[in-house]
Amino acid sequence: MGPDQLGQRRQEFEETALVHMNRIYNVALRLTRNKTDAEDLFQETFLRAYRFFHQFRSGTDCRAWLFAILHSLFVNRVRRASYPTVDLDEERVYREGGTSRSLPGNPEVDLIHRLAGEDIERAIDALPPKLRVAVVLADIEGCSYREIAEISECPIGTVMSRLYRGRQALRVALKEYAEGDKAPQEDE
Amino acid sequence: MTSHDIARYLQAYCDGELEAPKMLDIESHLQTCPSCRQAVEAEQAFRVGLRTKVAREPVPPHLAEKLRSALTDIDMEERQARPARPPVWGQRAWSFALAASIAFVTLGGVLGYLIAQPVTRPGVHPLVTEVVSEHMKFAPLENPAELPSKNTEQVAFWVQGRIGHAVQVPDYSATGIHLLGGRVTELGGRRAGYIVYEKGRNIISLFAFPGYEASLSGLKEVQRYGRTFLTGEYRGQQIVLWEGGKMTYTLVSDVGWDELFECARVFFEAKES
Repeated sequence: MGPDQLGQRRQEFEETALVHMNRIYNVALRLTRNKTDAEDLFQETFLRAYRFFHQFRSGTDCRAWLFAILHSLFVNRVRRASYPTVDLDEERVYREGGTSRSLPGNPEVDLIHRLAGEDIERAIDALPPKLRVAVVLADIEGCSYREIAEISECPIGTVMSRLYRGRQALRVALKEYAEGDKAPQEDE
Repeated sequence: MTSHDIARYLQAYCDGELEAPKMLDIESHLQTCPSCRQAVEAEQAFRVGLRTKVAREPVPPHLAEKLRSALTDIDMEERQARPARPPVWGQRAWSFALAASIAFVTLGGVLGYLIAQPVTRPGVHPLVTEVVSEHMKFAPLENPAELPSKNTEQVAFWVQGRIGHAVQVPDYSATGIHLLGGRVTELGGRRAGYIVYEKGRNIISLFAFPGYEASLSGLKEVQRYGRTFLTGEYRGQQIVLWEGGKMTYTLVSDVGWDELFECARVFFEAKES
């Protein structure tokens, strides 16, 4: 690659990939749950993307491509137990909130709007990683099922199942937080 | 379709991920079932709540600086180490006219949905024919939206998630034009947002895609409200196109010029407020 081509790649990368820096950083924050690891994951994602930028097909969605790189790095880190507190196994015991597909009522709407952002972030952080990835990509980043399936390398049905269970678990956690808030706080 | 079925499809429906026939079944059930309607509203509000409450932090400046410096290091390494190699990724992504013409040439045979109409007309830019074809393909449907929603914020978020660019979804309800929802389509070889509105029985389509061309054959330049618009008629549909925030917005409808320009005015009014 000659100097001109290198310059062209850099400019192209700035315009196509680096415009997504904020999104990648925020997803990294939600997945790793701490700033130091998020910064590492962010840096590693973009450096890898830059090295393999010739494989990116112009005109396709660069954001989804970056998410896919970030996701694979994150999963590898979890598997290597870089994050000792997280468990990749989505089948582990967590508060799922029942298995019935009952229709939610409007009290739950009031609930989410009453709670502070920190409570919602805490509830998302507490999800098992695979459910967290699905919820963050769908509900925070607005990705489609197909995109999440490609990013996570799993079937669309699995994405739907993870989303359903992730959202149910969030509802249960948020309800608990809200009920906790109802208790009188004498210290204040 | 029963309430039990609705519960089964609730998530995919609210995520805008169902096929049109299933979507229509649900729509018709919702019209007669207040409790399911309430459930849909709750589900949608839950999503809006999640998204709006979770804080988004900007990338710390030191991190962006560190990244750019590391990219420069890679450039330096490769400059020293590698012989010339042709780039594989081709043209600049934002070179709209080129991308559109390439897509048009390569997809020429694929644009079969332009049934009974010529794909091109001399002097008409392919983009004009594409937006009108998309509009005419979906306008006759009972519900043309993939994501049916009256919530402008929800549609903007959904479209942004699918095309990777922020889009403005104006609220025209004060002028009697009601939002039906959003779709995603492809124009000029790139993903585009398609916002669907309704006035009476007329459908108004608003397309949004990245890039802007100051002139397109088949459209003429018109000045209104101190701004430049490109306008024209094709296959009986009126087209008003303008630039907004590095995106091209295009209205297509046969509702009338006054209504379309009023929509364009409200777009800029909302943008400035």
